Amino acid sequence: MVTDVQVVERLRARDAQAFRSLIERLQQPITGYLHRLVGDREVALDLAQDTFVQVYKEISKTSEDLSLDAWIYRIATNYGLRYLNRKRLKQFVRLESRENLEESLMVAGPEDSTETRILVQQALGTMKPKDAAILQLHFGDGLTYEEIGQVVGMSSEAIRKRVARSVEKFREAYGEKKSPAKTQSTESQFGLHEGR
Amino acid sequence: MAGNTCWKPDNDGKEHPEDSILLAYIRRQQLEEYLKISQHIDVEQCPRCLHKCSELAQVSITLDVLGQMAQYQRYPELSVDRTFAYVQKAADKRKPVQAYPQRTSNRQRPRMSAIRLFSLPAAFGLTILFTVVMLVLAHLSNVPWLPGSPQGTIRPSQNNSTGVAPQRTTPPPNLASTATAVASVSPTPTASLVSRPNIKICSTHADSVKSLLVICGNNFESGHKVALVVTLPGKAPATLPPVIVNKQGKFQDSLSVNNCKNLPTSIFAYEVDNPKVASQAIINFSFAGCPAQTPNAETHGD
Repeated sequence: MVTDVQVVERLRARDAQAFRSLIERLQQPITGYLHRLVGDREVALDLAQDTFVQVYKEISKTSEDLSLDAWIYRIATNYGLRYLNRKRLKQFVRLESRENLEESLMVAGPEDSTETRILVQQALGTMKPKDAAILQLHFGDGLTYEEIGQVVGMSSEAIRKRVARSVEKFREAYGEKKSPAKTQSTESQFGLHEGR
Repeated sequence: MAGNTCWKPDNDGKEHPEDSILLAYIRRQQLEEYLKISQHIDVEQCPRCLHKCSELAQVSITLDVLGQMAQYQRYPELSVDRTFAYVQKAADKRKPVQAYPQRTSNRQRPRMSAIRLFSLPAAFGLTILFTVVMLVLAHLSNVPWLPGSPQGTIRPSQNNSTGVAPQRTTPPPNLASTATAVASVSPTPTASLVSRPNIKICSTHADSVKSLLVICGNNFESGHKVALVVTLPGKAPATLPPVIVNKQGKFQDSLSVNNCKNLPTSIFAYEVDNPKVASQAIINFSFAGCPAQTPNAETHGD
């Protein structure tokens, strides 16, 4: 069993085989994460490439006890957030809608949850990119709070609170997407009437 | 671990874990007081916390669709060899700051998002520059700025009876019935016309029939008053009532020439507000069949 430390050591030594293994293991999930985050397949493929270029260039500057996957997700997240911030600025300038999701992303998954996937992605698209990224990392890629903390550079306690706040924001946005004309159904969707 | 847990008392003074802890609990995240929370929810069956957990679980289930999507996402075009080759090539060739300009030629696949953000300020700057250039051109459009352009270039024609330069002492023999002479010639005519005030005879055929000698002035200060100084043969120079220069720096004035004896020998214009600004004099010109009078006027310039 090769440990993270050994992998990092080999990568720092420019071991081609180690880097190929890394790409093989992570390029699909990283691309998928970016695809869900930015909502554009082609952009996600480009950003994933950029991520691995950055890994290749910067690995020699890292310490040996690097948490490799979290670091790579961090690079990918930074690329994704940078893209989203630029895109939102452009949309602001052009006064365009920002809820256009790529069709290929909407249909990725079982048929019976297609509508839910579309609404979830649309709701995430209305949130702050960093909040959306944290939810994607936790619910989409299954990262723990501690791992997300390493990715975004926050403590696990801060992540716990951030996830809770982001979930609350998502609930509001999702309710609006699900029934735009009836805001009350937002609350009934999640049983808020009884709880408050 | 997900940090220190926080408990908050309700109205009855009973403590409950805050919502973020409940979410972390149902998401099976590590918690420092996991056993205490489990005791509160699972053993004591706190109704408030159970209800909140139920709400959070519903949102959680909705968001778990992201995990389903992740399982279904596939990118068959991705190849380890190609990606590695691209990464090596890109990392060796470019530096971070130079990355974007070189990307189109280096990258493995064509990029869909071609327009970069830095193009916005560049486009804005170009728009400003273009506007300034257009304004300058518009400003110059009333002034001859190209040699040989239709406006303002001194091009004595055969019909011009006496377009006389100050250096000229002998009027040309050709006498036209209509005066269309251009005067105020300088050694560098085009340059002088661009910036210096000048006048010319601009009577039309209809004006000639009415014996009306029309003088057109250019390049005077807009809004200023300009007066023509006319010298008739054997008489002292007389100043005509001033006229106002229009926004284009032009003015027009006229005088009646009922008799060839009344044809001026010289005409020049000056700004009443600033007499130093004056045109060169028109001399030796014929008009409506009247021959040019003997020049006795001197050149006036600024």
